[in-house]
Amino acid sequence: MDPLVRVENLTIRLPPGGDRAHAIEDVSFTVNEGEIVCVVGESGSGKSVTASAVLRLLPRGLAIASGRISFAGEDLLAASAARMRDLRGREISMIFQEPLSALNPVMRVGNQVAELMEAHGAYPGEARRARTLALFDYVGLPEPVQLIEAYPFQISGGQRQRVMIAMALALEPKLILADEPTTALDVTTQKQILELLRKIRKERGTALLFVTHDFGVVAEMADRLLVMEKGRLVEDGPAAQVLAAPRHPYTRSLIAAVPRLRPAALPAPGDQVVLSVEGLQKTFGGGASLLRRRRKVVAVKDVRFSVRRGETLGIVGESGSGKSTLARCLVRLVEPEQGRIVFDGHDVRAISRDEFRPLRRRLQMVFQDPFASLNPRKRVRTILTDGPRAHGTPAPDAQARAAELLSLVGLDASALDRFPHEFSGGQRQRIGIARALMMDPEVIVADEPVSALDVSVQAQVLELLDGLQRRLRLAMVFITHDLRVAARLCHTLAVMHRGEIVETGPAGDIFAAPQHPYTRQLLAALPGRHLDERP
Amino acid sequence: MSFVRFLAGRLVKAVIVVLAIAALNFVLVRLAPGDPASVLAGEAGATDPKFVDELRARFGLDKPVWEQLLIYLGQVVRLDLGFSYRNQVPVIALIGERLPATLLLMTSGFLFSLVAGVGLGVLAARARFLERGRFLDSVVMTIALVFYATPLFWLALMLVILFSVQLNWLPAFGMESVGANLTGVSRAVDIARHLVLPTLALGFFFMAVYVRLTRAAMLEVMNQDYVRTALAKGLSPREVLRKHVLRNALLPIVTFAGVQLGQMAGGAVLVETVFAWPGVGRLMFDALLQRDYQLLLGVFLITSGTVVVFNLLTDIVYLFVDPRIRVEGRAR
Repeated sequence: MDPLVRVENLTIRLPPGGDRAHAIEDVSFTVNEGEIVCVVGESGSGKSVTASAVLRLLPRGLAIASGRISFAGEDLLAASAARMRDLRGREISMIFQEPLSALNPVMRVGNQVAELMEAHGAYPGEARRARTLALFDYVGLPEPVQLIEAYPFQISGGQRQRVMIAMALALEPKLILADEPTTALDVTTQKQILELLRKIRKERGTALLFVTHDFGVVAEMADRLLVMEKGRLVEDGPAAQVLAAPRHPYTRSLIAAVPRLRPAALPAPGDQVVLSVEGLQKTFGGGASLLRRRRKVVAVKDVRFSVRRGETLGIVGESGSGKSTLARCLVRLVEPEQGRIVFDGHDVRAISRDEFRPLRRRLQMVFQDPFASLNPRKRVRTILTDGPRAHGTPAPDAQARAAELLSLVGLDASALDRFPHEFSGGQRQRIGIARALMMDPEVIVADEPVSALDVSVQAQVLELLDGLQRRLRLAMVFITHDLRVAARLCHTLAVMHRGEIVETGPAGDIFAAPQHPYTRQLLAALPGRHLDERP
Repeated sequence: MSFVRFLAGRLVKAVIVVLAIAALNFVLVRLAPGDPASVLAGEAGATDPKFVDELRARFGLDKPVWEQLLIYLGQVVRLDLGFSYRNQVPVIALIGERLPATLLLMTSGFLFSLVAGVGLGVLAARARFLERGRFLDSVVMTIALVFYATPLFWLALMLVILFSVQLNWLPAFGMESVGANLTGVSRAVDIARHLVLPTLALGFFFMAVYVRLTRAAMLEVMNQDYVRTALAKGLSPREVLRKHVLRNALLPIVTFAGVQLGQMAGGAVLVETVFAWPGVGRLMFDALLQRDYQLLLGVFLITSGTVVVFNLLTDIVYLFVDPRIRVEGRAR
């Protein structure tokens, strides 16, 4: 049988002046009917470009230089613009990563689905609404009759992605291109979406070209696996085989970099409690403006924990669970209404901001997004030395310390005179960590410090944090949504759900015998559990 | 229900803003050098200090400033804008006589700049989106740049020289032909002919701003993910442009339109002066030269009130253009 999609020697040119000449180079693969083919790779590997090339919807500036793409025997690169429009949405449809931005914010979701049918003249008149309702029902959206009237911002992330999937399914296409469709979702929602996609394949025989960076998702979904590195296809084979016995060194290093859900061997923490929190509470909103009452959200509710010297406490939970608000309360970026934060014998909440200043330098934060958290107009030297100088350290001392710390986080001293944009994401996060260390802190609060990073870079940064903690015996509050990342670094875990810590204990115990139903649900939702069994 | 509440809330705020502006205007005018009583006395040829004191007492100028302010605000609340002693007419009557002409000029200038600006902006952005006609884009942007950079009064003079003096197509000043005594349709046509040059003079600068804003907003929206989604559905680029790009690009345009109407009030003063347009702007200019403080305060207040009303209208239009604002107001 002929494959549904056949890509041969495809090369796509990048605009001149980039770090390489081609987005993808000499890529060949096939997708059979009803097959799920996963394309994995790190950012910049060309995996998304490969998927959009099939629909000839390349980002501006990119052009196909050579190669062939055929779909059901038809040469797509020779097809007219009108023919491509006819195929788009009818034979081949696409699902994107961020369902909020992929949906038009000022158009009702039902209309956005109906518009696809309208574009192809399908389901005329009353049938169109009926079809939309049926699709919404099929993808598991609650109360379709009300939901089709909603705007994208009114529904949850998971529901938006279901709307996208309903749209993709509207005309029963033979192929769905899915570009990181679950990356922006929480694990429990991700699990449901992956199940839905598998059901679609099973019931309708739709083939999926599934782009992802997540090996857990690959292990759950893929029949066949394509691995891309810097625009080249380096490995292509049955998923089980590639995962179990990768042939290419890059595939091996990628798989090795995925953290395992097994507690790592960490040095025992000390006995001295450095930071403890009791009955912490933070509510947003409430009160009333001139004319309307604001909705009240309890972001952090009666939270208590303590961290010892040399200990890493992992705070895990899904988006909206209150983890980031908690982190911000700890360093007083947000003022909680209730509770005690005891740091070094002082109740941080009871003292004034001026009295807090000397304490603040010993309580530092590392942020999630290394792109947004470094001032783009300042050199690394200034970024690193601003903090200590504000606390009275003489400039030469601060600069010497900056050079020392850069080498500690694995960067060259020449980095001092460069700007943040000259560094990669991983390097920027190293700068962020060095900035936190500049103040000789005793406690580091790290809010999702590795979630914006590629898996291999993530592994390096985790390694760095682990090494730093061993050497400096820091107490660390490590906030993450990723249980595997938590396993790599944390002695103790606290699971947060709707502002409360529902379970806390040694990481090993929680993974082996989770007590709270929500913890069990989180663990069950983790994709690719059998990957954790690899040696 | 929610709309009524929204509107009520905005109206309350608008009234507060207008009163605050009235107070600020009052204080500013009082802070300016020059004593209206001595100006009046001087112009009347009187040098007797007793006469000046009498004038002060008559206009309440002998009271402390805060008391004068309270009295003034009390008058404003009762819609009493005072009396213009120079013109021997109540201020409200003077303004009422001139306001329609200004509103007419501003409305036509606003509509011209909006329609022409958005239209040309769409044309330029469309050329980029369809990836053909980049030349058109350059032409439109050059035109926009020229009008953006041209001072209003110079442009006004050039329009007069070209269309009135050289070509003799359109009248150069006034609102109606003097002594023609036209009625009905012919009068409307006459006023429209007088309106053309002031409208162009006032509108070209803002048209240029709209061109740039519309084009930039559309280019930005074109890079949004939902535009790619729309293309992936199989919509034609033209449909995508109309249904997805333009609709979202309207949001910043509406915001600017509200701001622009306020700025236009300032431009109107210049245009009215150049074209001898019998509007509030001219009145303000005259009041300023004659130190007719009551009249000046009245004009300021009416102008700010107009701006506040336009902002209120913008908020209401926004409500219809952006569902996120509409529904949020309802949900809470």
